[in-house]
Amino acid sequence: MILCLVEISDDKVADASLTAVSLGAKLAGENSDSLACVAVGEVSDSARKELGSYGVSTLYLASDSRLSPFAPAGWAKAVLAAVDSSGAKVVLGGSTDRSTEVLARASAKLDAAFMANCIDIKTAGGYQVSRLRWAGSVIEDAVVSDVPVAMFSVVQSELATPMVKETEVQLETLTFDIGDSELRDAVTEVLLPTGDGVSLSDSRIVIGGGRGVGSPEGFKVLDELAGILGASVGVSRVVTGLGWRPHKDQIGQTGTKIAPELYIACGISGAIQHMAGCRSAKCILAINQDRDAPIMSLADYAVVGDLHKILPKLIEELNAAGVKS
Amino acid sequence: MRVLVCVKRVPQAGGKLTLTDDKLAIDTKFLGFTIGPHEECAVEEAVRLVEKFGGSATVLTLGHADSVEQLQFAMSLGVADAILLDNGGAEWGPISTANAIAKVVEEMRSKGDAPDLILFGNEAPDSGDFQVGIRVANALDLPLVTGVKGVEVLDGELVARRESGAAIELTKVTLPAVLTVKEGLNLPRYPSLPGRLKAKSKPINKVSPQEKGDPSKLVQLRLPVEERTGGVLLGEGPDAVGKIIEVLKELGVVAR
Repeated sequence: MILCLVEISDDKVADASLTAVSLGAKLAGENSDSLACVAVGEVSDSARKELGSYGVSTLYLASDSRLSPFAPAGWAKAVLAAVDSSGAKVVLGGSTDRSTEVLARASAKLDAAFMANCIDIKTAGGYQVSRLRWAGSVIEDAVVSDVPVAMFSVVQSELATPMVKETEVQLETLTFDIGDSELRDAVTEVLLPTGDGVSLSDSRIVIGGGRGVGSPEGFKVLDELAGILGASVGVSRVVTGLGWRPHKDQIGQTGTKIAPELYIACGISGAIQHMAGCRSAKCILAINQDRDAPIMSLADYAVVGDLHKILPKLIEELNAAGVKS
Repeated sequence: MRVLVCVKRVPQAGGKLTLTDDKLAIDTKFLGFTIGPHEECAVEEAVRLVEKFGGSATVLTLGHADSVEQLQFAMSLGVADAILLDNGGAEWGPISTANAIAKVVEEMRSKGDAPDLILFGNEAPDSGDFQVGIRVANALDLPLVTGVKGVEVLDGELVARRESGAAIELTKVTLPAVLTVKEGLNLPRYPSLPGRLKAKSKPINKVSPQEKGDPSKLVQLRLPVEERTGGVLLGEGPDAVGKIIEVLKELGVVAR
């Protein structure tokens, strides 16, 4: 049996979880094995149907309200209860913060292997695993062998989500003791976001500024262009390190990951940590004084020069043409 | 407050990574070393908590003689002393690493010097295992919050703040506890010259850990095929603005 931890919210299975389910379906197909899922909370008919379209035979569900919105130790116990009930040897999950934490906790309890950010898993005398290191700049090929149970989180973008077959998903309720150990580090309060501004990660156009912007005041010209194009402004890690802009504006490995239609990177060299956050941009336009900066050979379009001379002229011409967001 | 902060010496990667000939490691011939951004915030938070509540902070790493550089960096910011788990610089997996750290904490406990708070980075920038802190919390049977971007301590209780999509989640735990933190938790200070000088004479306690063994074995590293191969140089200076506007039109960002 192959087991997938799935996160369900608003009647929908999270996309990241479906990536894990699709890899689970592939493994089940290759090994003539069956596929089950485990979830915490409530499951709608539509979510159940969605899982059925991947060939999931059983959904193990822990629905005790104390486990919601998020009691990671309790969720890990639910995974272990499902492993017990199903006899699963492999547990997969999406590469979200939650699934990663829960699988790491569950594997720690069993002293079992857990590998994060996997892009492919093959089974043949153990597991041949490919996973991302360095935020995707390096791929690690590894083997896991001699383990009763192995757990893996699967990276979202690398796998297709094929619909293989339709099955009727059987619901199995998980019952286990829930005490202080399961609840002592559960989420106690959720603060919902205020305001309706578009977040950096959801922006269609992002303008990025790096050290080359020169000063906090230097961002005025980026903010102005963002106003005209209806864009958000993001920054490189140097800029937040210098205290010019807050960390929530940071694009990169340890900041926000963006996937806009257009990313205009101004005065940004393009270190791997930054590229890890913007590589999903459909188009990158780089403006940099250093024609040898790494970003200049990665960008779809490059302009060599001082952003403080180029952007004002661009703004002037867009204004003259009457462009408004 | 007694704080233990755990860090990892990693290559300071810049524009492009290259691999060693045997493809088992990153070529570090031309690279400096550092600790990860998340860990810089963990060290800063340890120092701030001690400044606020008294007590002391200890920094710990698993590594070898070269890792003293990272321990001294942490001590230059205000950490009192260090523990070096010297494994000769071998690349241990997360199970072995966590086991060795948990053993040290058990020893601290038995000496009546148990940490109130153990801090980790959310994940190491190089291996990205996302689990050493989680395994340590499990081994020590301590409450744990991951991905922390805000910490408030009041009367033996700690409220940890983290992001969940656009929402903020608060988790209240009693101390002692383990946190794995993310960059953005604070803005780390730079080491001062007196701080750097003092760090050189702060004690480093060396321990020889036993390797428990990890079930995963590295076969090889490889570099992904770069999907971005670079494109068109539009021009130089403000004269390129006309070309930029053409691109914006082509992408449908501005109307034709």
